[in-house]
Amino acid sequence: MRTNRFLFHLNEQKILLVIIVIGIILVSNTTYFVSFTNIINIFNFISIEGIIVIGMAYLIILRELDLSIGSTMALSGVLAIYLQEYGIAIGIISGLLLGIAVGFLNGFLVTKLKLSSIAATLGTMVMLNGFVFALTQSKTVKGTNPTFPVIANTTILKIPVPVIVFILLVIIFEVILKRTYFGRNVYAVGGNIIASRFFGIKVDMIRISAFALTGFLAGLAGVLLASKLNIASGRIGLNTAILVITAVLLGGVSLSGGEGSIFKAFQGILLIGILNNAMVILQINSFIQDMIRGLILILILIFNAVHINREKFI
Amino acid sequence: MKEKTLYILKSQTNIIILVVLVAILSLTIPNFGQVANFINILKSIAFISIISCGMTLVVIGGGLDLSVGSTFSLCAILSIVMLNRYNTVLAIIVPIAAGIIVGIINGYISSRFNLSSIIVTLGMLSVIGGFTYFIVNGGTQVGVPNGTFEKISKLSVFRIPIYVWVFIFLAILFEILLKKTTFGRNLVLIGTNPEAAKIVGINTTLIRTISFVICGFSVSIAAILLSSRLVTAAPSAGAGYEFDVITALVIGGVSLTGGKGNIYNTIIGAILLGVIINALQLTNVPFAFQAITKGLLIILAITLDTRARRNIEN
Repeated sequence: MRTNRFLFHLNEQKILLVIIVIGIILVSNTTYFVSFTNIINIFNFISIEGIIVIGMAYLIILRELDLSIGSTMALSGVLAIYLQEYGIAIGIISGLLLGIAVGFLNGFLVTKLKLSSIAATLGTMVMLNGFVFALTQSKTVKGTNPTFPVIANTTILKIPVPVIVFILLVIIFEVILKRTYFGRNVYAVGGNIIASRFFGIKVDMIRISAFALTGFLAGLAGVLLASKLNIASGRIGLNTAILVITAVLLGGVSLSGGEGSIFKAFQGILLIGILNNAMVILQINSFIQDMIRGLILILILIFNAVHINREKFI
Repeated sequence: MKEKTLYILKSQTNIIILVVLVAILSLTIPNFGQVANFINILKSIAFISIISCGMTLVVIGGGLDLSVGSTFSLCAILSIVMLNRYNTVLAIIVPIAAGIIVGIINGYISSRFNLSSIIVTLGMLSVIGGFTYFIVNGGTQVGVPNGTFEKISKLSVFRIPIYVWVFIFLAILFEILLKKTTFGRNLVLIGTNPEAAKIVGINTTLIRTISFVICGFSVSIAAILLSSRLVTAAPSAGAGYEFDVITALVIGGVSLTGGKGNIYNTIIGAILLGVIINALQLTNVPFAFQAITKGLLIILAITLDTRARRNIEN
């Protein structure tokens, strides 16, 4: 009984264990890994995608998925860069509004038209990509306003703004998920949508809000990334969906819905960041890095398979 | 009885739309209605359609293979590498073997452990992608024509190139496989109700794995034909193919939830897509708006499909 409980807790915290093991291996190689600069590097690397991970975790807990985040991010960035000539604020606000609009559209397609979320967001993804290419003409566009790049490149107490935003959002949305009616309803709907309806939970409202939240966060990430790089390009966001979904699942949020937390998803993206950092420090070929990331996703899935019941998603 | 008429009507809507569309376009756009242009359309969709035929089997079995794009790149690269180092025979056999191996891995892992094939193949996408870039170190492979290999794709019968014939041949073969064999019937049952299939004593792991192997096989055939046509292969050759393939399936009315659809649907979907894209090209609509149209089409097709299915259920 006791060992069972111990194993249970071990299983719950396996990501932290993996992180610690990687940490020990690396520290025995070089102490640079635990230096403040490197830790900031890791967080800087994951902060943009990490922001979207929060929304995706809500969706996956609800048994939904959003493939359009990458193109939403790209299009928001394009808007933020293009509309600078009318003022930075206009650019930023239109980037964020676009994210919310895409989120509502996805939510509408999934809840009102009852489409499968994978298929619906696939459609919006292809469509948004079209808009991005229409606006950029497949070129990379540089920002013209000197103040815009300052936003994401400012540091407060040596911590870059995107990292602060990311950490704050993780805390806020973890609290919302764990401590509010909305959060509890998210778990309920993800666990059993029909029962939730019987209990009078506004199921569609909750699902639309989660899509809108994800869209908004993708827009925010797009604007921050555009400010960080001061460019907009159609190549941005191509692999974001894969990375973000990998992070959420790595963290142990189950595709079968109804369980998981933002903190778990945070561990997932942190693990990706640390792995990436470790592979850079150990100078592993960047193509091999892609392979390792994919392998880890598959291995973790197989490892979890014992605990997961049937996972049929679409 | 009524169900059946509705079902048949629904399965015929696509062909009706196609015929009407072709008639309208032939009348309005000059050059559209010519035989040469129809052959062009067939040529433009041949490679995607070959992959779509294989993917249809996977989707009918309740799975989805997102790794077809990177498998395509891998097979194309292998084909050119083998051509340069060895000979034509290996340039054909090795990619086919690779496609089959990828299929075995995808199918076995996802069905043996009851994992969502979307996520498994998403992982495989980065594993195969990384591997492909790694073996050629990111560079495009230019083949040295040896007098045989590049001739394969130049063959044509009745002015229709060989790869269109291969597509037609595979389509008929797979349709027979699906409709006339035990494998096909079992696959449909697994896609409709996997639990029931297991209870009846069907080896679901085996059947599903075979469907993934067939998909991998058709990807490799498409890749070899493209390599033969271009005598060059880039490690990004198949990037994004998975979305084009899924678009063709969805527009044709193959249900992404499994158990419903046939090769015929897929082909109509691919042709419909090809006709629309061709018409947009002939009228000089920019590439970006073609992508936007494609996205809208996906959403429209899924909406219609979901509506039709609900009508049948009611």
